[in-house]
Amino acid sequence: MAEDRPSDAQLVERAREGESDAFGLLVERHQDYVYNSVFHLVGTEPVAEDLAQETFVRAFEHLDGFEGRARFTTWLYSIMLNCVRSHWRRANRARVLSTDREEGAPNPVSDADGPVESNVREERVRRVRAAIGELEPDHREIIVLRDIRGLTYEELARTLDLPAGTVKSRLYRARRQLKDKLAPYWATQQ
Amino acid sequence: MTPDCRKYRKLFSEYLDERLPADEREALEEHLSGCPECREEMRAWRATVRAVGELPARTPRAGFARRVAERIEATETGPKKSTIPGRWRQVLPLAALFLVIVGLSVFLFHEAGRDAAPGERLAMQPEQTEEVASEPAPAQRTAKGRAEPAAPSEMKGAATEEGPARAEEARRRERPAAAPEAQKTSAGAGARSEAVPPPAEASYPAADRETGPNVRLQKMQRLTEVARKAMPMLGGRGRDETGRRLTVRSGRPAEDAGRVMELAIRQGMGGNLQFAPDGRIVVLLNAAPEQVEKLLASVSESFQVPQRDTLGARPEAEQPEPALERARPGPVRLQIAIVPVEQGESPEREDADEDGR
Repeated sequence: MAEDRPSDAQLVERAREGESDAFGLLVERHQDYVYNSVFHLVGTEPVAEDLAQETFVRAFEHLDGFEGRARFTTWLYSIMLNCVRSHWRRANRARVLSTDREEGAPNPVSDADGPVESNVREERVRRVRAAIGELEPDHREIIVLRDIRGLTYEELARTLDLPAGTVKSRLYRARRQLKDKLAPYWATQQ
Repeated sequence: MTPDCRKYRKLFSEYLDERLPADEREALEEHLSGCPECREEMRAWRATVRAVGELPARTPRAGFARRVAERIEATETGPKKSTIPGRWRQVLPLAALFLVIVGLSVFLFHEAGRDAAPGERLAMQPEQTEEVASEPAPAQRTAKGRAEPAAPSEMKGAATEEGPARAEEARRRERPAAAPEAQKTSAGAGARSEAVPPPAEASYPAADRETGPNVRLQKMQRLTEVARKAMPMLGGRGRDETGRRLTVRSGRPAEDAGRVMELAIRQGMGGNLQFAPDGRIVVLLNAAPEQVEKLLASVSESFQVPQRDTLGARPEAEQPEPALERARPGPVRLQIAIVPVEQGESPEREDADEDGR
């Protein structure tokens, strides 16, 4: 029932009061959201795991800094982006995104696909990920947040702390660059 | 591509997000219906946005929330307790060791200056008061080839009468032949104000360390011993310096490093000690060439090495005497490596590795 499910703000308040399970519920509620975004930003599962964990650890440490004016997810995504940017700075390889599938990582292609279709889809996934990994970091961020996570323009503006006009122009440039990188591949698919 | 194409293509992104006002959307669609190039371009845009949106979602491994909780707990109880950044945690012990050595050097210099009263030896003596009590008066010592102990009435301090004689006898046993320079220095009290002490007084034979209280030297020995024990934990390593080098085999490297260091300090040199994990102790000194020669002379006398450019550890050790590399002109970086007898490499190999030459 909807009323049985506490809101993010309520869980935050309970976590602030020392209820450890409340923050655990927040983690479980948003872990897929955070992890998937981080994975598409950094491209490898171990790093995504580490940065997703770091995102929640930082969120817990700065829980008092959440004022409730924005959605919890917007605040959480800002922390996530800071973690990823710190990682990029540390690794000094912001433009590199591993396209190799990690050992033991789940196959992104459904087992229900036939072998030919499966290969085609896997190739497309690999190419798209590689193209995203070649984008500038700020373009990669906005592509992931908009086209993978589905944030609205307003949410993009709050999360990235950008004016609405900048969100539109940055998203346009990011998509155009991505399209240019994938255009040769699309030509072969017709 | 016409200017119209360029204008409409800038709307593609918002068109795909269905954010264009109705009039702009209709104008764009009308343009697309008459422009095959822009239709093709729109197809590529649409395929790109759709392909990104269709990327398979990734989920964390099971137990993610538990791992986060563990990490939060570890952060709260573990690393946060240390307020020293990791890089400084590695550097601080070395810095502390450096400060100990520098502080000890300053202390010894200070003591030497305080002891340099007219008519007395200018050079530093280990534990002045008690050393005087255990040795003959300088004038007597120099005149008699340091064979006779001073009369009790001439002594300072509280040493017994037997102490000086026993110490002197032990010193004589350990150093059967007195240094020629010491015997030549028999000019009396005036001559004793020279900066360089008689070589015989520069030695600290084992008998003195065992029978006569030599607090200053003992402090240095303790410090060097502590530092030597600490260095393996710190991953200490010796630097490959250029200049003159000397390798010494010693049964008591910490003590002998202290001896060499004190001799160097007496002669106005600055330097430090480095402790290698394998037990070697390297005395690093900056000195003018003449200082180097003087130090080597003193060290040779102190360790009773007949040849000036070689240095043995202890007479009873009977180690082969390693060769000393010749100096390059100008200021000299002098290294004296004290290698434990039980684990040191052969002197020949030590010398072959020196300076990479």
